[in-house]
Amino acid sequence: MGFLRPSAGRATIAGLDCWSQAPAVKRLVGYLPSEFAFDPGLTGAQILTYLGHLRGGVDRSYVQQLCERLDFDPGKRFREYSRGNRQKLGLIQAFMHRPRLLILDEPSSGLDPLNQQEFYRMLREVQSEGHTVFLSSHILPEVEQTCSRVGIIRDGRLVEVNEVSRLKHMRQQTVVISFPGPASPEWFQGLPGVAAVRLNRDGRELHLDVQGELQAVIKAAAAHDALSLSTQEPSLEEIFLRFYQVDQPVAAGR
Amino acid sequence: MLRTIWLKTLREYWIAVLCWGLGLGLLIYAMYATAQDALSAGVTQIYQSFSFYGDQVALNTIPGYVTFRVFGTTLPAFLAIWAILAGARLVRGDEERGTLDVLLSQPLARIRLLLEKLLALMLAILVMMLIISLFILLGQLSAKQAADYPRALLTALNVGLFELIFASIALLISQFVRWRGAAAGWTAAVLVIMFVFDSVGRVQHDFDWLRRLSIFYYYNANKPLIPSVATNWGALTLLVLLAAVLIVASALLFARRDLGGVAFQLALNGQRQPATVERARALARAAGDPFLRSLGLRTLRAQFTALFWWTVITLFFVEFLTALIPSLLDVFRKAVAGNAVMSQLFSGYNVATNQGFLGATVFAFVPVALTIFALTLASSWSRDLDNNRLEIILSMPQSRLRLLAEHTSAVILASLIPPLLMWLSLLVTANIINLRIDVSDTAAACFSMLPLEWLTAALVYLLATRLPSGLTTGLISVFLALSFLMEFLQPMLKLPEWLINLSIFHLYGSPITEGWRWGPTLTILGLTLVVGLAAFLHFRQSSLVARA
Repeated sequence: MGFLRPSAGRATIAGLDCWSQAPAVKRLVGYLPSEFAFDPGLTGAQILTYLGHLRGGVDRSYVQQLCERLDFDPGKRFREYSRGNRQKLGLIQAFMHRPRLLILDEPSSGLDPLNQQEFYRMLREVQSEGHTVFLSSHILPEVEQTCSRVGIIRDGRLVEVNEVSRLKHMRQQTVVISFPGPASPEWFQGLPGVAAVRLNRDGRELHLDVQGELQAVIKAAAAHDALSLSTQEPSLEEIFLRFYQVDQPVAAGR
Repeated sequence: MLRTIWLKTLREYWIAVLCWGLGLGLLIYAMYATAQDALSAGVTQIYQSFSFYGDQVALNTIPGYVTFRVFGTTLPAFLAIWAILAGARLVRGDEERGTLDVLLSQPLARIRLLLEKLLALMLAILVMMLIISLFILLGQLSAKQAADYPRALLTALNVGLFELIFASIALLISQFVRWRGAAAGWTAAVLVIMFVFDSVGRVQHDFDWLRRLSIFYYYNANKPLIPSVATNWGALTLLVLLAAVLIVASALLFARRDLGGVAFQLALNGQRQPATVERARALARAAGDPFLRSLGLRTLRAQFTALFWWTVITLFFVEFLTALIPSLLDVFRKAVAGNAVMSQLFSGYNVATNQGFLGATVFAFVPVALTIFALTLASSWSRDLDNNRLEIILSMPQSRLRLLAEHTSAVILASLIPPLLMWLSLLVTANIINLRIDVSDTAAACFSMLPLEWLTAALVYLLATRLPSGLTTGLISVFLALSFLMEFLQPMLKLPEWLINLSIFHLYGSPITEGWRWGPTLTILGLTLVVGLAAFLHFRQSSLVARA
């Protein structure tokens, strides 16, 4: 956004340099900062009008439509708005010029569940129109629901960028196998892809963390007369937490 | 210090207590130290024409002189600025910040919370008054007077009671308005009205009854420093009762009203339209506002109230002193004739001429006031950078240089208005009262202030690229204060030429008597240009988080 001067390298959006061509970049972008602050004496309507003028004019009927969708009252002063209403105002100003790229920092924080759902619908609409949404969030189910690609940052470095579906597929899954009698973890240790084996309390069920194909695990389970076998796909939250485990080395970003 | 609410509140006051106590204490000491010289020089002749300003009791004695100069109006009114702000934010400040919700979620009665905070304020005023009483004692010793601490203490306590009343008025008004700024503004208006009532009543005997409506009158009924003035118990009791009534009323209102709401809220909102209609109306109203079209126009609109009040107060001050010239000039002429000490008091101005009088009374102070005005205008930029209000503006498709240029243009335009109106009003007033002043010299005096204002603003823009707002304002305030003191005290300090030339007020000089001073004016303009360019280049290149 041309806020920070790069210490090295350069960033581009749509082929435009984010520092030297900042105004042109900002014309394409709708931006919501993590803390939306503004002159406390202005009303929501005045803020939207002012920002609309600074953008060279926006469609007022579309602004009103956005206010309706998020149930936002633009007649109050900024200082009177609750956190949720300030967030709605921030979202409306980010969407109001129909940008090609939306950069949203923690966009749904402070929104009530109904408005969150409406916001997700708005995201899906702009995505279906071919626009890009770039959001940062700590609410991982939200990311899982709204994003197609995800980047994970650890210690200030991008450690993973991938499709959400591929990330889940590539990463470990948990396999639960039940046996008619006492089971032993040794049956599965050393098999290809098996990272860890845990025995549950009654001694008849094993929990395996497996990466990749399950053929060897299924064969070994059958050899020991397994009663049932189920797999659990990891949530994005579990994948994320694995990246943040202290002993997990930081992989190079892709 | 964090065990109780009153201790915590007292902790917040200690810097203000020290700064105000020591600052006002030094002023009192300086007044005592120079009193004998001023009295010997016959300054009382001049002050006899200033009956609007205060009671003239035993004016030819040192306690009478100090009471007139300091304790009558100056010190109580000046300190009331702090008292009013403290009273207005006592509970409204916490409400605005949202911290009162947390405090009141504790098992604590509202009245107790208010009284604890008020106790801290009273203790702060008391400590401030004890400091001031010590300086009165030191002053008495420096003026070779008999040390009389009981009188010094009573004088300070009388001031303390006055301040408590104005803090309590602000506290009471803050129960009726939503914002502390509004409460402080209304209370300041009460202070000004009280002063005007007292002044008019004193000068115009037909309106003597007006004085009895003023707190200044009851406060000045007691003059503990002057032995010949007996204690007026009636006035004292009335002031104490007034303070008690204000406090009880504030506590009762605070205990009954909504948090964040106001007392006696009137249901006058009328019938609300359906939400869709209300939204459309709000957006349509905003669309018709011309001041939302650019950052420059928006900045101008945001500064309008400040611009209005600074201009009105400056014009009032200028017009008032100009109107006094015909009646005071003779008095000054007699007082100054052949008197070196008196001449020094007026920084070398020939106060026996119209323009010399204007130089000593108006143009020695207005340039300082207007540079402070320019500082407050430009500081809105650094404040907005500090509290992230510019982040969203900087995400708009406009270059940084353009945004800064628009803010600068708004400040330049706003800073032009007071000197321009001052010049025009001076000419009109002089014409009305048939006073001869030189049009060109007056223009020089008014418009030579502009480079000072612009240099101050340029310094704000430059420092704001690197430093937080508070530090920027602090550094520039110190520069302005030093500049003023160096120039004001130059007749006594006799600083070397290279040092005194660092004072922008010295470079301003005395254009009202000397006409245009192109050399120094162009020097300051050149400097402004360099600082301004550096600010633009630096802002274009710097990261927003680089400010320490």
